[in-house]
Amino acid sequence: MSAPSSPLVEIHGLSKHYPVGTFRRKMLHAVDQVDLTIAESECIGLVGESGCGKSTLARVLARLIDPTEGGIRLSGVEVGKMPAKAFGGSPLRRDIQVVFQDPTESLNPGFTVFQAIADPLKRLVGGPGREIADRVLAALDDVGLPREYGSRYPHQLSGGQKARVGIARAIAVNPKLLVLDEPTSALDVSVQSLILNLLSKLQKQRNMSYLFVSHDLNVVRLLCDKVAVMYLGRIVEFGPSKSVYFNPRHPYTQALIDAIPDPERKNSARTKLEGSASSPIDPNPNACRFAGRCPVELPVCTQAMPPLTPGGDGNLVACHRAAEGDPS
Amino acid sequence: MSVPLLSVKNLNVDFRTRSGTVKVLNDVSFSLAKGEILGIVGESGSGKSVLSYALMGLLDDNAAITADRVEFGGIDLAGPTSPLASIRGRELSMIFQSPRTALNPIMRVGRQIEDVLRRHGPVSRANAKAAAIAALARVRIPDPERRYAAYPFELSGGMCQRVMIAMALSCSPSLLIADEPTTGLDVTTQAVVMDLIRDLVQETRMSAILITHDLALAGEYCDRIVVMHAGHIVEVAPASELQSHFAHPYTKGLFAATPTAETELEHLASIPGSLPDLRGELPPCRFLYRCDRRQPDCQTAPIPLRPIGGDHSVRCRHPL
Repeated sequence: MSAPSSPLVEIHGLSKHYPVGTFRRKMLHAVDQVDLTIAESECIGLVGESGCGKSTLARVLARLIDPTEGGIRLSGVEVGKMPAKAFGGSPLRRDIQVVFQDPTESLNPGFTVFQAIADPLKRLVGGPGREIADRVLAALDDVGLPREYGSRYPHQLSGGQKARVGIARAIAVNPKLLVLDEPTSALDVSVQSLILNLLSKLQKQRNMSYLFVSHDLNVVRLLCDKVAVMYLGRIVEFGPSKSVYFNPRHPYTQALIDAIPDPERKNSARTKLEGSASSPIDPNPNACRFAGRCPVELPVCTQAMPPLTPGGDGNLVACHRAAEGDPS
Repeated sequence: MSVPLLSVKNLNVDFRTRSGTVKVLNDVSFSLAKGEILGIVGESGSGKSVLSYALMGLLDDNAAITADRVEFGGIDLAGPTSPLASIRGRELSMIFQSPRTALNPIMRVGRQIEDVLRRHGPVSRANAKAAAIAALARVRIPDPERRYAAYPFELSGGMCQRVMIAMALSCSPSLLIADEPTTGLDVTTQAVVMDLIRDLVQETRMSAILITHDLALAGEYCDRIVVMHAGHIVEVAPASELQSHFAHPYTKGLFAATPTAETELEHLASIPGSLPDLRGELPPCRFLYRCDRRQPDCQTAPIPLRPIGGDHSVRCRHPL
């Protein structure tokens, strides 16, 4: 067996809190005490409902915003304490790039495709114009866009083509980690399948690591080695994709999987998740975040926060019931 | 089969634009039984939303609509004396995608429901308020008296969609058109909203048309599914029949591109090419240039939607 690949990113005790309320004395816990390790050329999925903090975690990790506390080590260098602005000017900026959710919103309508891809190259890599042009064309080739599309503007492109431009722009500077924030949620299934296959090909070719944020477990499972399930700012289950998908241990993960439309089910019952998540503003530190919505709640769930503990198969799960060996 | 609630025959919609006439819908014919949920599935640009807008009479003036027949509950909606304006919202109502933008942001949601009630008949303020609260309760909104006074920004996306449904159902319509009602909602919320729509259809014996791009979603909730491609209906079948015996190459492509529990990434296929430009001359089969089964005779005569057994029809010369 080969030696385990060294971690590219290690985050430890990462939190992002926002002050809210009239006197800004309350705290919204968007991300709370998250530990996550991403190895080189590993693909990690991050799933959860909207508002669970997955996009915030992705943005903190990509160093677009500053964490409230906790550390982020990138290739062994602590970057969590570095202000986002300083990180933007550091040579490490190249190593983490982001592909944003809405390909239409995230492209400057006044930039041609060529300019959009060349811009980060000029800022982060530099060099003579010829070299930059060569790199832009290579990036277009990599994402399967014809080179003549370089002179087009975003409004002349289809949704799938815009998604490809967003990917080309992110990979042009040769990042080590690509943060993908719901890259296919605005696309048709047929185009989604092309983009997923493209991402998988690029990852193998370039040995990049991915953090793939999505609310669709079905899609995450296809691309990712491991999946982290988030609920109200905390990771509630983490493990190999197949194991999390086919043998979920946390009742929330189970509910997420049950909610995926399935023509075979047709009118039959399932675990339904009624209501919405409780408030992320000053949550009770001594209760499971899922309590109140959980179908299999125990008295202890409102008295103590379950820690993330090993649950077999290399999974980590934060649930009192799973810890007792009684998931379901 | 009993008399259908809605029967559409040879509906065509053209848009006149500066760059030519866009033939958005061509020869669209289908029917909908009472109490049935019909799914309309296709990629974006396939004309499924235009179809629902045409049925509701909500298209712009530059749309030229022709039809041999659009009959709804015995009423002719295609003719010049169509009573659509008076039954829209009462007999025939619609919910839209992105509920937050469809609701008035500066009006309490209860008042927005009252507006619909008062538009369709004289009703006192007090009665309207009671009816609006009852409508909110019917879509299982907890604490409807309090939610009556809420503004859309105070409600979550799923809650806003329930308000939309409450509004659409406030006059007990016989047909509900749901245009991508769960796009932009979480899977968990999607399941709750879709279960609600299905339960309400069963309770009230109304019919529903579910417009979606998600074959799996349509497969779970619909009785029959219409597959649209580039303005043509290419296949119609009962949901389970479509799942197991799809006959059109486009339907096959859609299924192959939809991830399921068994799919591996390598087997996730995509449909080559993109929708044809709907301006100018189009071949009889609009899927022609994307199809791997095309033969010379696909280009000759018009291809009708023809039955291939049971309740299953397909528009293809060389079905699977």
